[in-house]
Amino acid sequence: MTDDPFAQPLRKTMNDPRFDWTRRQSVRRLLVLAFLLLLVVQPVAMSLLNLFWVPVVLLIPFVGIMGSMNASIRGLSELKSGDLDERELVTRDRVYATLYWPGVFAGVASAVLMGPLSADGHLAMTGAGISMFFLAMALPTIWLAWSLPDEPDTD
Amino acid sequence: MGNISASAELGQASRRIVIALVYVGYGLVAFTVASEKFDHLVLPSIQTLVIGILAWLGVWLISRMSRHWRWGQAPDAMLDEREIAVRLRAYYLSYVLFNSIVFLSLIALSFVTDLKIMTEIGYSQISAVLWGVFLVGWTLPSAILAWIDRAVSDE
Repeated sequence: MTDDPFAQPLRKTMNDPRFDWTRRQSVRRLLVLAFLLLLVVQPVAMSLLNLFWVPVVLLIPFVGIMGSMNASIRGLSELKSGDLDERELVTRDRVYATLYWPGVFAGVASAVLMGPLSADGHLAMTGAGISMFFLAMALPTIWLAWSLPDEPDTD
Repeated sequence: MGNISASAELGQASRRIVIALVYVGYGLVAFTVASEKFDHLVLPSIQTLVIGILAWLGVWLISRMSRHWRWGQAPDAMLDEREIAVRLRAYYLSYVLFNSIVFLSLIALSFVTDLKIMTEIGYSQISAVLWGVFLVGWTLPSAILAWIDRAVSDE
């Protein structure tokens, strides 16, 4: 047993009691709002500051919030299928099925924003495209973090 | 198997060949259109028409695998518990696969632009992408079901 939550199997990390603070529904929803705020801040900051490396700086809070969101739902959308039990698999798959078309459109929107619409060097479009891609990848996690009820033993 | 009949079914190997032909074939045609090689020979509107017909042809070919097509598109009430669980897994895989394709396409686009394979994005290039999204987005869950399902006749 190690003290470092990141030096153990992902399944253990996602269920580590040290992340219990993220698992209350109110905290999960705050994490979702923080993530969505970053999605908006990214293109605005790129446009106002006219700096291409804004996404690199914002990657740090993105990774922190995304990791916390994943831990808050015990890795339901992050862990491999073999690490989930039957009930968790059905919950995960049902969310992905529900969000299939929104995910497809977000993915395509990211491609259009980062491709044709960024061709003239519009950083706001590039930033919006990166944000849309993050949204497409994180949408099931966001959905689960927002909608899952509090766990029975949560204070 | 629920209410989805298994009439006139292709074997698993044949289904996989049809799916590979549809996606790889469309990808090659779309890449050729996107590379502007025919812009001086064929009007962009004709290229769009051809690519649209090919996309519809792909949907038609995959929909010919009627059992898997209906399995992918039917309402839950028409399916039994196992069929619903397998379909949910297919949607999960489709979501992950589709957004992975978007990510790889964005990387490919940067190479295509840097290597000057494609110098401008016009009507036929955008229509190739939009028809591709239509084809892949609509058929992917059914195609995955057809790919992974081992029919009784295969055993």
